[in-house]
Amino acid sequence: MKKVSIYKPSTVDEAIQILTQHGTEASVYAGGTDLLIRLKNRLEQAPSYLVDIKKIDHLRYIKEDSQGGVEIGAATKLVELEESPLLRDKYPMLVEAIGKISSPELRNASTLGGDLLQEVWCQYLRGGYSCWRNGGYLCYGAIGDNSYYHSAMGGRLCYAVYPGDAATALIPFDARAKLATPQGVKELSIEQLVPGDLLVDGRIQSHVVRFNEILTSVVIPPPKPGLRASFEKLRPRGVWDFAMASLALSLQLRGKTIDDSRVVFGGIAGKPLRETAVEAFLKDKTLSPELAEQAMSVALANAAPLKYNATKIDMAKGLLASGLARLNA
Amino acid sequence: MSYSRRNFLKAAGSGVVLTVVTRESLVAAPTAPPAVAKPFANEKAVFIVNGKPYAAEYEARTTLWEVISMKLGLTGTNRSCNRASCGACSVLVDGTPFYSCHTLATEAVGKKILTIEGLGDAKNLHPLQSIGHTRVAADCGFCTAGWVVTAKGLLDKNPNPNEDQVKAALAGHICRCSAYPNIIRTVMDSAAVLRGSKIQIEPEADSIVHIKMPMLRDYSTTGGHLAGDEVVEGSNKTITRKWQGYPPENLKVLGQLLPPLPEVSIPRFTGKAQYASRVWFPDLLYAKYLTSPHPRARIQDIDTSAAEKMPGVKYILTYKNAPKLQRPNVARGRILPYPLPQELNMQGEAVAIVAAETEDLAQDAVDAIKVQYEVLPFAATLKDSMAKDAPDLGRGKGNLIRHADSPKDFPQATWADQRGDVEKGLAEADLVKEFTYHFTGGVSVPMQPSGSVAKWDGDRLTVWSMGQGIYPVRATLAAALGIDPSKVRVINKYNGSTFGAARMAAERFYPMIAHLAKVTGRPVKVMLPKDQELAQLQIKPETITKFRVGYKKDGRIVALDHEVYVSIADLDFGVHADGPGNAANQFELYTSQVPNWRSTWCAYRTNAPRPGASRSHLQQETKWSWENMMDEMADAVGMDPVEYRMMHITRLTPGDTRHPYESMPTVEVLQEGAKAFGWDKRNPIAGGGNGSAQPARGVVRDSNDRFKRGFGLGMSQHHGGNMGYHEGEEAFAKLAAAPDANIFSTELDLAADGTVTMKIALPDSGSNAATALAALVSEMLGFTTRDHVRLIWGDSDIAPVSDEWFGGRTITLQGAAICFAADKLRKDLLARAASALKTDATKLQIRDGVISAIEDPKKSTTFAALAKANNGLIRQTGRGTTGGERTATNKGVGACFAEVEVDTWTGNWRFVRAVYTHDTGLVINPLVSEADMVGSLMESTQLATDAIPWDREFPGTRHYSVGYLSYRLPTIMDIPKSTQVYIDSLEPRWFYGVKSFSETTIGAVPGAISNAIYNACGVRIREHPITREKIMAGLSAKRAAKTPGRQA
Repeated sequence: MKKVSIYKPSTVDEAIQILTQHGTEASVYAGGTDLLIRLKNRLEQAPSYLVDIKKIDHLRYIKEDSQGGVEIGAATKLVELEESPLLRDKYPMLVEAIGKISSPELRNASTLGGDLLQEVWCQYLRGGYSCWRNGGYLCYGAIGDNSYYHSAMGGRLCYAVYPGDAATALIPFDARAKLATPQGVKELSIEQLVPGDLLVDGRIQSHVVRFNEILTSVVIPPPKPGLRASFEKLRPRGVWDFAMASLALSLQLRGKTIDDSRVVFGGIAGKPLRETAVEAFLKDKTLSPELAEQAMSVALANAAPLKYNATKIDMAKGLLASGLARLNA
Repeated sequence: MSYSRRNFLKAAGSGVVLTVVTRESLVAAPTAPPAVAKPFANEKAVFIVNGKPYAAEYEARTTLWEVISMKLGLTGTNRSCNRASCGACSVLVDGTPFYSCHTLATEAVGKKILTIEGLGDAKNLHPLQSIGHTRVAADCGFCTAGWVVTAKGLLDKNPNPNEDQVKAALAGHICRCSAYPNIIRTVMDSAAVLRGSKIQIEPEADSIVHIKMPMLRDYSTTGGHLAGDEVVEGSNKTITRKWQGYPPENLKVLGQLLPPLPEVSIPRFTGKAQYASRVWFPDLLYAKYLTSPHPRARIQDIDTSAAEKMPGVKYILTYKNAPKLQRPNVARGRILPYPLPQELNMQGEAVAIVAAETEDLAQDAVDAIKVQYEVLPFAATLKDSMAKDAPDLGRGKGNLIRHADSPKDFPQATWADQRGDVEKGLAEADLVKEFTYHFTGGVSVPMQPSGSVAKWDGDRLTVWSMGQGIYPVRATLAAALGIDPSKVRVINKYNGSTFGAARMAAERFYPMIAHLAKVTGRPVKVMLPKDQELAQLQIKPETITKFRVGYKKDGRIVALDHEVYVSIADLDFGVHADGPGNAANQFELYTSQVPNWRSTWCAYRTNAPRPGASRSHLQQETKWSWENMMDEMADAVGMDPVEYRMMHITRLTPGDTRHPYESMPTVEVLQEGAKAFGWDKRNPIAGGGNGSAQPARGVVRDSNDRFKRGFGLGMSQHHGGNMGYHEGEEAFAKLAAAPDANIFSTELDLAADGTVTMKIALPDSGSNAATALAALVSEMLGFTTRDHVRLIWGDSDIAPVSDEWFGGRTITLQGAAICFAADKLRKDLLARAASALKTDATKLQIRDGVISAIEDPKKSTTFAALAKANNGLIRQTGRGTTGGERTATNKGVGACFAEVEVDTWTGNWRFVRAVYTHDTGLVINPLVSEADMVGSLMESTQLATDAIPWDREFPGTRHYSVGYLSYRLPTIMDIPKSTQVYIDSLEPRWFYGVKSFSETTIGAVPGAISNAIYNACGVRIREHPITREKIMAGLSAKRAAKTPGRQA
């Protein structure tokens, strides 16, 4: 593993001060499930200072707010989300999605914040290639073996897909993220939080959290009556593997009529891809097998697959049909 | 110098602001900055492991596994992938399972850590350990410590889990041997016992159909032997004693379901099985390799000066200072490439080896070594190596391997064989079809990181090794170092699997590790990380197979042209394209009834990992093409795949010198397998399963038609085993005198307490071979249980000389030594008893250590008394050999029947169930063999569905950076329900009718799955591996073809 020094601050402000002091040489460290792999692979981009936020006492909680929504501390373990009766009651689709992340032992270690802000799993980055995210000026995925970990929806610099499931599953609930910054608390939608590859503080990353900011919690608004949601994840094995394609789908239903919907694809683009064309199409439609077929023809019209990943689009469309069929059942 | 944006930012400190976040999103005011604590890079703390406090000093980057295993020497917890992708290293921290390789040590300070050592020891086993032993929940045992503690964590929280909960809890644990069904049963049974249930845990099989064939058969259906006491041996007409005098009658121990020998099996559950990776000394140094980033290069210079000065670094080996080997490293008569070459022929080849105080410090130094490479043009794939403008990798000899035995009339082949006139046959055929299949390469990664430990005591070297034998390693290591073999002790009792693959990765480097230990004066250990190991393991190479099939209108094949192209890396021998022993074995299943055939094998040099035995030799990569082809042919002529194979399979006929086998139940394997599977329910129309072939109501995706089931069949055959010693002492002496003879030997010691100790050199890689051998000894010595036979193994100081096992032949090679020693011991004891009882040996009987007169059982003596009378020990030795190939080889044949379910909407597929049918001979232990065969099935499934992580666009490079996320081994969530069908074919030439079947059927699986997927959804995959993306692409293409105007 790369040589590191670890800070264990006791407050968010102290953590921010340390992060500010070290710049991009430091990184927030919580579950470490993504970070330790980058350190073990000694990536150029891996930090030298870890700022352990687990000693900060108010980052690990799941609590109901006064409106009936739920706030989840960023350092809350995935297993705690998975086992939360409150979440299971209010957002069963989220709990299902969390349960499909990595493996049980990793969910014992991983945090919600870590899942949301994790680095991409492109084999070139993780293999230490000097790519955009690793100090270089090239995306190997765009020209290399891009069958699994790369975007079929185009890209800017880095073509790696956004790998997380939690973000994909949170968007249909209109969840928001809270960030502690040197200037104070910042609040963003999940879509704003992880907009895909972009340059932040000189680094290509999937999220907008700056080097001296800390994701502190996620707030989910109260579930609306009539909302039905489904999460689908296609992966080679029943555990560990990242999504080849995934779908978080929510429908605001009146009988079988769709008043409103959220259609979010994971594993096919540099961000959790909200497909508003399908959402617009589904509005006021009635659930039926034919509807699924039609929705598929509307979906992902602006796909831009790379050499090996065109099937991601077909898979994602298949998941859309699957999700609609499931919610029609 | 590479310019790095990151370095620029380091200087800038706070970094450049390029974020797009609006001011409006700021909703709270900042607070004043507090005082900042100092970071730590080193720490000293107390760990509470299994209730005991241990102090340790470590770096901030040190993992919990490194503290437990490397600092504290609690070596029971294994580390395999080191990337949180296998679960082998799991421990409980305050009752919750974590991967200790992926938990920083500092996280666990002050918390209660439970490792396998804390669960129970040999004297006080936890139910998970004792029941796991009975249920054969560990084959190689390398994953065992991890899942056992996770299961303990589960049962502490949920004493009454259902099966799904057990699977969910253990989902994060890879068992490479796929003991999953037995693991699930172990946890369920343990839960019951821990709840206070008084159930008796008896050994029982999961799902076996056992077909006992008659003792005497004729040739009307298939192979068999005729009535009579003598069996003629192949072309040599050597007369062999039938059953070697031990017929399969009145068996007491053989055929019983018995757990593995406790002395082998129990330590796997207590963390005490001594893999090389578990060997630990307080002053151990750790070795790390610098490897080549280039597929082909020449090292111009290496500068280690900066690295040598780094903390903790003790020695650095490069081509400049590495010892010249006195004699090259040899394995099975073949020279292994020099371990630290200056000419680098593949990405991942070793360039330098650093020995340092910790792995991290060694790696720090590796990173500081500067190498100047002359990068050379390379050819990593067959396509590139066979191209007209390919670089000459053979230094003037070209890329095609030709050697002394290569056929002169086939100048473009490494090896070839033919019968009749294939061109004439093709011309005369009614129809001709051509097929090309591509196997892109596979590797059977063992869980245990390949490596070794070397330690010198004066001029005496001890090596803890990882491989398939100890004496060949000792001999070549001693020769390489120029010392006497008696100065080398090799210990290898356990492997976390080897699959044949570990030889290159571990054995090739023993001289270097030994040298490092010598020059540093410290014991040195190497455990290759999985990404580096991949380049070093023996792999199943890229193989392209082409067929031209001429056939009659009724489907019968009358001419067959078979061309094989195989990637051979930088090996100078054909290995995968060599003659009768290897290549011929891959086509004789379907050619015996074809009048005109030709089989051409072309091995090409490449800059790829090296091929070799890797969970069988050639089986999967060649049968991938054969079994797909037979299925396509059956489809083309409208025949059922079973019937089509019945039309073509080899059936033994008297006097057939090409197939000199005495039992080869090809017909039974097909018929009984089909029956057990329910093959008659197969839908004959590809894609026609589960409802109509055409979706209803014009909807392309009808829910009722979404999931489609399909059946598929593959066959396989293997050189089951040489008859290691069947032609008598004189013949043996002749074979043993040959310079390259592979000798197996054993000692059987009868002690004054009446127990018999077997001494065997062979390590155990999870097959529990010695368990079978102990059963043979028990049976031959007249015991009715196995309890009187003990085992000492895997140590050159105490076990007599033996070769290494290979080709799944242990039972007839090491078994030859064992059986003949037992035969001699039996006769010796009878003679001693006859003398003591003053009677004739023929009038005596043996039962459970008592020898008595048949007429007057009161007239008796005991084994114990006879041993006591002989100074407390009666010893007999036995020997066996591999000689006599082809005249003394038995044949195994097998079939895999697979059912899959394809999600036609997403391309997802699921392996639903399998019937795995084996020509077994007499099954010595159905329980252990079942566990082994489930492993074979899943190993081959993984090989069929996962390529070597080998980049399609940058061939020669590979990505294996995230452990088993980059190389997806099946998990407990992915296994099919499987049933073993044993065809008890009774090999007439060997003791009790035994033959080996360890790799008989493994080649059938890739084709069976491919054919089942075709049957389910109509998508034929000719390029390995079978992936969801290929299924999806095939389904999309079919839909596009069905929907005019729609693009694919």
